[in-house]
Amino acid sequence: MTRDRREEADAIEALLPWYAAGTLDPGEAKRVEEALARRPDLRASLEIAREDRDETIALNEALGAPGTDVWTRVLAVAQAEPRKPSLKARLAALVGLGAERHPGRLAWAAAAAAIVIALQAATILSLLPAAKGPGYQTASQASATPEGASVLVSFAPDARLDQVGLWLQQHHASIVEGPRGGMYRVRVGDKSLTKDQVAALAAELAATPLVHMVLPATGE
Amino acid sequence: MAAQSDNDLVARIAAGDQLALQTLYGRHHVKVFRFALRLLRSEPSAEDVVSEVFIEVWRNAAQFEGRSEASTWLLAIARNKAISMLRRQREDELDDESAAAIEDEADDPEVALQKKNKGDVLRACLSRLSPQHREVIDLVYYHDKSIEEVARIVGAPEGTVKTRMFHARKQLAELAKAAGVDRGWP
Repeated sequence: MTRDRREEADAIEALLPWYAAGTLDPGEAKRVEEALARRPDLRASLEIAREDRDETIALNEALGAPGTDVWTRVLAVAQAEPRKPSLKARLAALVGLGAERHPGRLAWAAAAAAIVIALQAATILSLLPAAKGPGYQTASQASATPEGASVLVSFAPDARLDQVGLWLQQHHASIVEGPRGGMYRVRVGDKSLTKDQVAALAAELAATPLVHMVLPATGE
Repeated sequence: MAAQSDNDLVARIAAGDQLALQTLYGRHHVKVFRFALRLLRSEPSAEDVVSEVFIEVWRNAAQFEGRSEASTWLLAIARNKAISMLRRQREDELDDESAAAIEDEADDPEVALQKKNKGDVLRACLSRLSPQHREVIDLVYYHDKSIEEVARIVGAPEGTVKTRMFHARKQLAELAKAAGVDRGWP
């Protein structure tokens, strides 16, 4: 056997345990299958790996389980240390989004949030005719999708989840997306709105300490 | 209604949801316990690891980045806790009681052979692997972890993981052969 073929044979042999467990990616699994078709010695080795796996599972399954008091200990700590997560984390959990868990997106969001804060000094109305750009945009046109109107909302960092829930309820609104750049897309109605109506709505929605700022949103 | 994914549960835990913690615990506590028990060989210590793992999840769920499965994250935490515990035990110089607790309960391979059961022999040999080899064998065969996931849990490059697994299998084959079960490999 040439050196290259020997190295390839060793590489395949090394993958057999994961092939036996079914945890190889499709490309590597195909590579193993092609080698298995050519080499009977590899098939024998695979059988040994399968036997090892069966006995490893049997051994572990015989080990039992922890006592119920272990959960009691965990729960005691959880109750003694109630979490005070950021509003972002609570809203992400509420709408089932994991965007904040990706460092890249987190960095993007942090940068975007910084820009939003810098823009905060400007009035909401003056932002209405802003130019279009990628991602969320301030819009010069009516900020309504065919399904209804939505706005972008940045909540105050100290806003409580129950307060936000009540605020949404009072305005017949719901969070449909986000956070992106620290802002949530909030659906505020079923009908399309004019630019003036959106501006009036944005001003109304922003009139609470819960809300940092409100921007009109283009449909996406 | 479809069950929530582990990653969704971790997001809820980060938001302070104790029910989500209980659900995640229900799904994974047994496997975390068995993983720790195989490393520590002491049920009380393995139970301590389980509680510490889920307390850490409660405290640090927001730091979970979702780049791996939650079960991989849990096992990596469990491994760190178990290794710290082993280090403390070594530093304390084991007393007789704890030394007795880590005695392996499995049959000696020769005793197993007398029972003429190949499975008994192999399980006895699996219990006698070095901790490093026992760990990689369990992660691959029992916890169904991919090469990448094992590398993440043990903190080693993927190439090292493959090599370690190969040597674990080899050590297992040699132990089995010495106990009278020669399977003709390697």
